[in-house]
Amino acid sequence: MSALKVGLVALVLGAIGTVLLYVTPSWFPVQASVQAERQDELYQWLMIMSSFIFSIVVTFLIYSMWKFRAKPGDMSDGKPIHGHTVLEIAWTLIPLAIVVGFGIAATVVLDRNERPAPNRLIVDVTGQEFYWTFHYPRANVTTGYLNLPVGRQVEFHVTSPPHDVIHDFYVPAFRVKIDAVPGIVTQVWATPTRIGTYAVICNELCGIGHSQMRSIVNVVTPARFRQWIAQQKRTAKAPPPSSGGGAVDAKAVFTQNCSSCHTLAAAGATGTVGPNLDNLAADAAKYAPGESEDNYIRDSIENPGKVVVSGYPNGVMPTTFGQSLSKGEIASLVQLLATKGGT
Amino acid sequence: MAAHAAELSGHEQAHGHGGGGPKRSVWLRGSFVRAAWVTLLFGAVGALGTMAVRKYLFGYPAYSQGVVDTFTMGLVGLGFTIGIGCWDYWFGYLIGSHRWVQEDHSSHGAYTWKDYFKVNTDHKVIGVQYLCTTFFFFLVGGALAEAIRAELATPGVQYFAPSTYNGLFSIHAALMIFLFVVPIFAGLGNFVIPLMLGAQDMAFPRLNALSFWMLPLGGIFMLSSFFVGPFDAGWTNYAPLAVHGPAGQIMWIMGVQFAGASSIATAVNFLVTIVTMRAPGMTFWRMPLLVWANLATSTLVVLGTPFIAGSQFLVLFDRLFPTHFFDPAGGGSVIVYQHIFWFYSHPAVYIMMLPGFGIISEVIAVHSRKPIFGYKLIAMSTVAIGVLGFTVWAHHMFVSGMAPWLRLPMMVTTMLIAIPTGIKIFSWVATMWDGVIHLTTPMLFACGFIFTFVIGGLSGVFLAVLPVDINVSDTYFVVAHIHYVLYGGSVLTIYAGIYHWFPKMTGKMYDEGLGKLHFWITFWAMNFTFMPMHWLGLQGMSRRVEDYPAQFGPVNFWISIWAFVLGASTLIFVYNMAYSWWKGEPAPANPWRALTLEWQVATPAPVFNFDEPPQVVGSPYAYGHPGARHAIVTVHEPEPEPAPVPAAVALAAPERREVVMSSFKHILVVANQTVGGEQLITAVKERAAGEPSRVTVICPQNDPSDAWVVNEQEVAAETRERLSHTLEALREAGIEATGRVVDRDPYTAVLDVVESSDPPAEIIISTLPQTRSGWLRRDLVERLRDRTKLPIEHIVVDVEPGRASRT
Repeated sequence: MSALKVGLVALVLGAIGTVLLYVTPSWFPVQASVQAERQDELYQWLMIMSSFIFSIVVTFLIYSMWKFRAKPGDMSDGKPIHGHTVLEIAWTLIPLAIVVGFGIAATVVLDRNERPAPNRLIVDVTGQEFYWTFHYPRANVTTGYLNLPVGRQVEFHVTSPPHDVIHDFYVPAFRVKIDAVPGIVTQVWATPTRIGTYAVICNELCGIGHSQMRSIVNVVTPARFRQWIAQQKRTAKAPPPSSGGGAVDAKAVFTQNCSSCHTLAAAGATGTVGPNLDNLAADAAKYAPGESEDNYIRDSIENPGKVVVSGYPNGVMPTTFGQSLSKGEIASLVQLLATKGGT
Repeated sequence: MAAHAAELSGHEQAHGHGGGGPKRSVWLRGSFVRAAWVTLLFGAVGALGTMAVRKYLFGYPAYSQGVVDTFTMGLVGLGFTIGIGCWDYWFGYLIGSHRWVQEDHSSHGAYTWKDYFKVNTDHKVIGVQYLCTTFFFFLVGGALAEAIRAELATPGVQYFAPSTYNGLFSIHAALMIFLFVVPIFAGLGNFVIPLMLGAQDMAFPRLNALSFWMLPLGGIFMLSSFFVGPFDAGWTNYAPLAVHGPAGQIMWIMGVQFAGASSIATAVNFLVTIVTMRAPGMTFWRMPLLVWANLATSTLVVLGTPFIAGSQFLVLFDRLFPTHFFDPAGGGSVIVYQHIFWFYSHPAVYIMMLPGFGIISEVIAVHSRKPIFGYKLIAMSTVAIGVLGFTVWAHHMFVSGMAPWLRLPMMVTTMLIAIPTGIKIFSWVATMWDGVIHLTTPMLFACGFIFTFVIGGLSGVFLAVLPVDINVSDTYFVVAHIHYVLYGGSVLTIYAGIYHWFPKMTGKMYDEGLGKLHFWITFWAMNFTFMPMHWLGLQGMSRRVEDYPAQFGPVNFWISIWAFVLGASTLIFVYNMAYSWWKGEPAPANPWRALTLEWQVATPAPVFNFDEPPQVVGSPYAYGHPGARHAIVTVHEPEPEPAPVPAAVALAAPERREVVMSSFKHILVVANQTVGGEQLITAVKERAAGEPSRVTVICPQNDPSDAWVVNEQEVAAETRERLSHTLEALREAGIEATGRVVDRDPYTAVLDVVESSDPPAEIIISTLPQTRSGWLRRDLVERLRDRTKLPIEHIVVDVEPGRASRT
């Protein structure tokens, strides 16, 4: 076969690959944002380009390996061809055209994905070792998971506290991702298009709790969203609980702050970064004999370096809970942990 | 003279320590015994000294984990290289030791297997030392990878605590990059490049030895971090996580410093060797493509590696001292770490890939029996990748929160790199087209490499396209890409290179059947392991996680199974290499019938490679041209009776003193190595064309600084042959020409003629180009202009065909 015929076969194979891309089940995870749709389309075009390039190279490669293999004992040489100027110019310029094309397409997609809409919803995202906090500045609502209205662009302002490390706010269903960097605020935009619950994950290695640093995003109807905001506001406005108070939902506080690292059967938490809190009574007896269990728990929350359970490194648990949690919340946690949710 | 040493028997050389003084006891001469106690001594001095300084000078508590560790490890590293003997020659020179001799070749060349475990200055020995050491770390890094895959085989946390798991993948990557891929190419280059260039060794053989011995220290430091709390911030070691990390951080940082210093020193060595030590006739456009690749790589290393060294020092300072380079609370910037880090670590990708490209160019041309397709374009694309490689670093940071405008230019430059890379791939396939392809093991690996590297290259374009990168960065898509380019790219080229040069390195043939078995298992296992990772990444599975959603369980299980197969396939290679080296068939000197210079010397290669500098006369890839040669190698007969060299002999034919035709313009032509070349003859013809002229050609032979000249008689005989060829050519052109070989240095020889009864009216001096001409190095042309006040024309001759030789 001449090179031209092999080239034709390669193009046909590339075309077959392209067809397969469309008839096989989608490779993509669920698309839940406008951004995801545009990115996936770009990805699909890259796959088509790859299908052709891969077919061309591999067809010529395998054909050459088969057709021009030396017969046993053949000690001759191949043809002394040193190059072919037209061919060399062609395979410089054609790839150049392809990458210029993709460069333009990428720029257009990026521009459209990141153009802020006037009615956008702003959400502050804070990543800390090893949990997420979401703050809705206009409503002044803070939560441990995201609730977003469908169809409205969201502008995430992402950061991490100055003494923390880099995290990465990633919602695979939205195809958006940006680092949460200590000291600066980064931005990313997503316009949810599909009602449902999706994963929020930390995508930048942040320490031993990295793979547990997850949260969720609920995409709901605008009406449900307004309802939810109102409900959150009421909770926030509720008077601060008296010590040991019942107004704070201890399990919710635990789930939001502790569950990514600690196991506690009563709260349904299965984290493995820090000590298993179902064994807390034994640990308290071992490490703080003669001290009340309540004090041991309170100390461990507010000053985690004071007593470190063996087998778990020091300096992993954030030292900021003493400030970030209210007195009532800490008290409720102490009660929850001391009683294992029994009361 | 260097080459005289080569004629000493091996026994004399191996024991000729310190210029023949009495042999020192094993405790005192460079050895592992001395290395052990000197290392301990330096370590103790480092630890106790640091503590004493802290306590008595500054009044701090004596022990501080970070500071004491850092200084102790620095001194341990220094002590080891001193103890093993890397510094002996320099120290001897420094203190004026009576043992010190300038041409000390006592540690050059391997005569028994024990010599591979000593400091050796022979580039071939160092090459093998590199290959074995780095492959050891490859096996360790591979074992860590298998541990990672065991953990990931099922969702949830099975075998390792999170900190240990983070240590596993961090050290895995660090070993593979800093202790395997980067240095193993230095090892292959060490063995092959000086031979390919026609040089006797690297430019700085002792620095070369020091570079090698710093390397294992880097690996041992990194691995020992498992004992003190593993380094767990990922090989990228991003601050501020790096600053907060456990004690193993410091071990890792010091390990990187030693590996980096080793890398820089080797790269400087390669650069100087390639630029200054090419054989006569080896123009840049006649260098094999592996040399081009190494030239580009070494430039990248020299320019880039200081950046990672710096970034790690800054992390160290943030940890040990109250600096705040990366601490926003103290006014530092987190992102600047990533800029400094990737300014090295992106070029590092090409440092790990370009030498592999060079290997593939060699292997494909030789085993396809065809000239490499588009030699110049491949060479230029190598340089282009090197240059562009420095302009793309921030594509690792598209989601890092850096200045958003910076993303677009970085995307464009990144995509542009696909073009020179594509040129190479197309050229390799075009080289195979219409060839006579011998599907030997190295060729199979080269073909497998093209297959996998196309995939790795294409997924690189995906990652360059910014919106797509936003989704897949830091996911398993990136893990798949990096393994397609580093396993499917670098590792397959490394295998191709080792199989290809194994006969020259060991003098034995490897087992072809086992080699092919190794290829096929590795190739399929590699694709089955890494291909599904693209899908995982697209689905949003993060890299560097110990636990993952259950939906990814089956795919991860499949990946783990094939990862174990891939690991096992490596053992076939280890067995094949070890057994073949021990008991393999003896290899002929040139089993692949290759043209490049490393195959033109005996197997195993002589200690100083070449008896004389080879004369390069053509392309290294002129396959298919009957009788074409890349170079002419002169091999001295093993037993030439060392005839006493006559002190001063008029070596030329009896001088043809004819009637002095004073009406003719007298032109004096001075040339030695370049006499006989067409360029010179043409130039003389042009010069003599205008008016009646006669020409005297002198070839000054005595060149005291030219250590290459080992047998004056033979060289003179060769020069005479070339001279007579020149004279004939001139006479044919109707120019009255006489000539002689004179036993003087060029300056004196010219003055002799100028002051004789028949002074010339003009002088033509013909030399090799600046880089290789001993005459130019001594400024001959200018000095003669000043002295003689005659018009002097200087001709640079690059090629000298027709040089007589015995092969």
